[in-house]
Amino acid sequence: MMNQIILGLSTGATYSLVAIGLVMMYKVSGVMNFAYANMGMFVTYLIWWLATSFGMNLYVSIAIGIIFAAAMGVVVERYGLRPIRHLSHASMLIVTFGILMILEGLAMQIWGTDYKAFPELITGSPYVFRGDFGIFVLRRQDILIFSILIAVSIALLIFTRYTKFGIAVRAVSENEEIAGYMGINVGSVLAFSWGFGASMAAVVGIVAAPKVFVSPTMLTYYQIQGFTAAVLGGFETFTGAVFGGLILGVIEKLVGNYISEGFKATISLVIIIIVLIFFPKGLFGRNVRGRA
Amino acid sequence: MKRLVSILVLLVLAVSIFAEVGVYSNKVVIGSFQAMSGPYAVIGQEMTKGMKAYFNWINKRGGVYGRKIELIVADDQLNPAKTVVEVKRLVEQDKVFALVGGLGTYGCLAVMDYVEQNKVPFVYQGSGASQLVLPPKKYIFAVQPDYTLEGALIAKYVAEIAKFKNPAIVYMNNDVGLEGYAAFKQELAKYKMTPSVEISYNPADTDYSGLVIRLVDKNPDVVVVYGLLTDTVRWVKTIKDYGLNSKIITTYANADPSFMTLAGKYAEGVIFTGWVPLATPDRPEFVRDYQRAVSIYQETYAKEIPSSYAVAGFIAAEVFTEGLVRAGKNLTREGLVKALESFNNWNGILSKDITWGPNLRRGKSSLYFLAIKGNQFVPLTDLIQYK
Repeated sequence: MMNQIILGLSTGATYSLVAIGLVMMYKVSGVMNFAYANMGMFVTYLIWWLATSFGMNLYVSIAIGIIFAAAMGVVVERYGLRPIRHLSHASMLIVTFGILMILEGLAMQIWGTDYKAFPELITGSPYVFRGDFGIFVLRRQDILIFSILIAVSIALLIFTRYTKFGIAVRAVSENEEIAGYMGINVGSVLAFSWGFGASMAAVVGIVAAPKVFVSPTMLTYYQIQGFTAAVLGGFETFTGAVFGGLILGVIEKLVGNYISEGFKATISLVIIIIVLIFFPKGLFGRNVRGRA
Repeated sequence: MKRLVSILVLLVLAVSIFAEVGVYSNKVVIGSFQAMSGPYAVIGQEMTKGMKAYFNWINKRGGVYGRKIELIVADDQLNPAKTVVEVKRLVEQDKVFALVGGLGTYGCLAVMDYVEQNKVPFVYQGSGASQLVLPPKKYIFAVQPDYTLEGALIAKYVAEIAKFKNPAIVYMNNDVGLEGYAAFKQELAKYKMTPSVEISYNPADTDYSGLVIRLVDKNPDVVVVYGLLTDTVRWVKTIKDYGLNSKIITTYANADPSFMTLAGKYAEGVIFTGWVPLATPDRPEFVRDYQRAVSIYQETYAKEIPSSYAVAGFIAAEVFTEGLVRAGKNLTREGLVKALESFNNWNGILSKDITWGPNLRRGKSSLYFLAIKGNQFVPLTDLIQYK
């Protein structure tokens, strides 16, 4: 049981990272980014390409990849979404669908459809503990993913609470118009949210790639689970995104182990629907009060 | 004059009525369905290249009885719903004489009844599903060993040849995995053994850490992994990452250099079943055959070395062409069926030991075992017959 919970937390940590990126984009710009997984996929291809075809150091390739991801997020927001921002919400969703297809097509044309191996950032034997509780195994890769999640969560907390720009991000997410009247540069906050979100997609691609291999559909499942985690957490708070992902990961593992591996995804989603019936705003969502 | 024209018209009509579908004086038109796009394109494109290379080689030498072989490849993306549509189009619109080398278990099973009812010979399926050949179907000729045969021979290797004591099995929860698992378990019982751990998994999952704990608990000396390329590599990595030193045996479907590329250092020591002979220095006749196949392949794809999937396509084309030769100049579907039934331990360039008969459609009943050592495939056994 303990083992399954720990393993669930590890899997859930990746879902949390996806959810954090999605929530940041949604919270600030109000747009659900359907191209999220493909942004991460494209950048992971780029990193793999730099490291294998040009013999570049993996960590240098990763740094370049994350910078590229941020730039891609900013460009998509600035030139793809902002010009149609006041048209309709559906138009912006269609743009994200378009980007999804463009990135998938480009990746297939440039790198083909066969799977590529991606190195693990951290290797070595796992830590195995045996005792009355049974066997407990902790992989280094799991520790890495969990550490990234903790680091990102703390950084976000400090950023949104104690920095001027972070407070501006919160202000824009609360009310874009009033934030603009207060002198906040709304455009730069919107661009930042997409730059940050795309960078998170790249981080997810990097940590998931050793397991799922680099391919055009490598992050599709993670996007679905990340979205579910965000919904479970309330879709509006980073705390919700983090805990939503962790809870989803644990539910998945417990269902897989004690009920049925085959129905893992289905049963997990049913449980989430039940949770949402009782907590329509998600487990960590806030009730917004206003005049009718 | 009128009489002469009438006779000529009648003759033309008679020829068109009695001529076999897809067979012309200068060509025979055949079809195949392959994943030419989508996630499995790497397999479909390679298999197609193997077939095209062989048919081009035959066509350059005048074809078979003066007929060139024209191959139409339909792209089904390994999606059985598309396979059905594409095969109907091949048979009803393109009027193909036969199907050769269709790829994918579910696609092959989806069109199995249709081709049988329409009496279209279907030679070589890129699938190991035993339903295709058991019970035998008149128009379906399998070359690749089926998973029932393979599962039984893996059990024989585990219990009798390598003498493992504590086997475990991990299998995909689909037709491929379930068939291999059932055959392995049934055959193992003959040696009074049972797997210490049996794990069924969803091939769409990307994380097996929750399941591998059950292997860690029992510490098996061998784990049979009935999965396809990416999930098998994932299992191998997970098993080794969790500190298990168990030997790992997997299906011939994974015995391709891409396994080594994906698995990297984890590939070392993994054991596979195989049915296409390995060209190793101790078997000069296989080396000679392989070099000949490579030179044929390179007539179409200069300087390229055929992958395992291209080799499969090459074999499909080679077996079919031998059938055409045996069927004779007056080519009919029934004639081809009879010709194929005359194969008795037939050896081609890469095709070896193919036998069919009036009530036998399982083309091969033997396999051997090979392993990755020093980034190379090395044979561990000779061909093992299933009795």
